[in-house]
Amino acid sequence: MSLTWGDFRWGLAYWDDVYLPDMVTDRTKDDVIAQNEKGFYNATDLNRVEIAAKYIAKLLTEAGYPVSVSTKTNWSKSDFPTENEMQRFIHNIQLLQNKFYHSEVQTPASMKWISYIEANNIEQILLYIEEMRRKMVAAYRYCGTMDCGGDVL
Amino acid sequence: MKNFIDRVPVNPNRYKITGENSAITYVTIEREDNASVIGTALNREAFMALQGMEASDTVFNPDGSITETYSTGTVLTSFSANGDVVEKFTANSGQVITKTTKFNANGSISEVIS
Repeated sequence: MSLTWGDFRWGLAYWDDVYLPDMVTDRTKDDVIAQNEKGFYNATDLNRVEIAAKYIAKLLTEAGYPVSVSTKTNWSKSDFPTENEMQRFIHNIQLLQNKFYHSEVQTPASMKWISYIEANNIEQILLYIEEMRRKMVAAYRYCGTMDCGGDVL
Repeated sequence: MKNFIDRVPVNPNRYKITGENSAITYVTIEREDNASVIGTALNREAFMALQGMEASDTVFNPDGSITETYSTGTVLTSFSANGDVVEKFTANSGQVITKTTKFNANGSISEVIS
């Protein structure tokens, strides 16, 4: 019986630093009021989204939906997110949807004054795209399983 | 050029079965044939590649041959002294298939796969 890949991090080098992180989609108003980790938008949040965007872009490209996203995956506390950088950040989310599948979740127009709901939306959209990609792959048919004019099953 | 796009289902491999008494059942059907080789997916990537929409690098070699490198393998095209054109595809897995194009004396062309 084969093992299922867990969420351990030591194997990331194997994946060429391209992987789907554990996304955060459950920020609440209480988090904002409590000023806990989920109540702020930090460098770790930017990195998580950028890494996920890079990962999804890679898989979509391999699946025949070429998409080129520009990412920065090493945000740190000392960095200053410029307006241009944040436009690029949001543009990646839109680009992935445009190239493959539009989520019903609304993409924030800007990162300025981003709300906890919009922050959730960004990560939910990425999860949604990845979920639909997986479902697409699950429905693939393979050579040797079909005949021209044959039955569905 | 045909733009092939993949089906993106919300419920992959889900089928509806309607009995003779019109009773409807929804089932998910998956192959359980323990395939030793999964096979090539018949998807957008494959069908667009069949139409030439595939990334590659082409090198014109000093000996006159041409090397085209794809994500799945390499095509080496060489031109024999007898006029034959030999296209040899070597997959990353090591599988090899060759097409030899012969220009016959009577003006016809033969293509041999080996």
